[in-house]
Amino acid sequence: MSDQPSDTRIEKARRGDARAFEALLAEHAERVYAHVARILGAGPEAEDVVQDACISAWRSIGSFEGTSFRAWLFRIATNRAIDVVRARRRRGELPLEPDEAAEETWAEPVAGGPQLEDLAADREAMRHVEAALARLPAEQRAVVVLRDVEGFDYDEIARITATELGTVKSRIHRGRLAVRNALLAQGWRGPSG
Amino acid sequence: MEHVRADLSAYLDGALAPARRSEVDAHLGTCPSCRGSLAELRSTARLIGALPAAVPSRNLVPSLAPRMNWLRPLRSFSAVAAGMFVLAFMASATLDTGFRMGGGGAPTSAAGGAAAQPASAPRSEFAGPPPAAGSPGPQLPEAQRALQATASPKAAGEVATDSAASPQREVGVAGAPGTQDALDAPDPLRLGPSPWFWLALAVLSALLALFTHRRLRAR
Repeated sequence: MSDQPSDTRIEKARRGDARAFEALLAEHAERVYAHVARILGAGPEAEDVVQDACISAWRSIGSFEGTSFRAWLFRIATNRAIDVVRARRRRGELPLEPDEAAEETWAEPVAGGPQLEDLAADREAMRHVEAALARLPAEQRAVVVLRDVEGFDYDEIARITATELGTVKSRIHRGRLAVRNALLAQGWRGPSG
Repeated sequence: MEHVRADLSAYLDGALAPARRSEVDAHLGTCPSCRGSLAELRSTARLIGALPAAVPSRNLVPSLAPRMNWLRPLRSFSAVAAGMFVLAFMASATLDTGFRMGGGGAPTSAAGGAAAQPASAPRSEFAGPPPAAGSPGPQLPEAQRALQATASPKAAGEVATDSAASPQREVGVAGAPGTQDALDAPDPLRLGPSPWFWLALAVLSALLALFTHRRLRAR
């Protein structure tokens, strides 16, 4: 791993220094893969998408003008992953994109169940979180992960996913709500007040 | 009272406009239901953030730098050369040992003559300075030469002629021409350089192959 600051390596990469670019990729590749794996599922296809994204990023490094290389790389990878999802939908492997205008529903918690905030150490509970996240539509899942896992802010997520800010807000909210409802359906409840 | 649940995620993430944030703040102060919903969303977001990340099964960073394509053939060549040099070393050592054990390249004409010669004795030890032209060389006593003659009938016939006709003969083991031939025998033939030369080349080639292999792996 290079000791050079990221800005220095970006400048070198823009001038054609492949090694500097490889060093940048090495810093982010695993996180990008974790994100793509959330969208497509872990496996060789997700790995291929990430590698393709890395090569595509190298080819277009000259056009990189933003300040966040990480967000730029995530954008390329997320777009490729969503393209794969859409291809799967066209082939009938996935359900069509849900109506995002549908009214949100808040499931009622079960009285007396364990609280959500206590579940992080519960492997069984985390498997339910994983499953609930996997059931989200890919676009919702992508923005929820970009926010709650990768920590991007809403504006960055809007640029990464090439969507409007209002769409990002709506998808994040609906995605969290769906996971919340799924956990409550398992008998867990939220913290009081 | 209008609940603010639809804005709770954005409120949680600090993504509301200041005016709207103030309104939600005010509402949360008076609505336990929305406060509960906010807490649930906060817990849900934390749980999602705590999920383990998938790990790739291979290195996903492509090699973008131009490769040193000459390293691979050099590694192959070095490895093959090392093997060949090892074989050359073994062959050279075998031949060298065989010649040494066989007593050199000059065949002996009589068994007695050969037996009279220590096989490994360097011939030069018996070769003194050539006697001056015309002067007879020093000779063994007659009794000793007669003794050698009885051991080698053929040599016996030449003992007398040796002393007279070959002043240039070497001293010490006069007698059978076979022994003289052996004395005159050249050093054992060696096919090319010493075996150690081939071994040194083998080691150098192996080291080169190892070095190039490590360079390729590092890339």
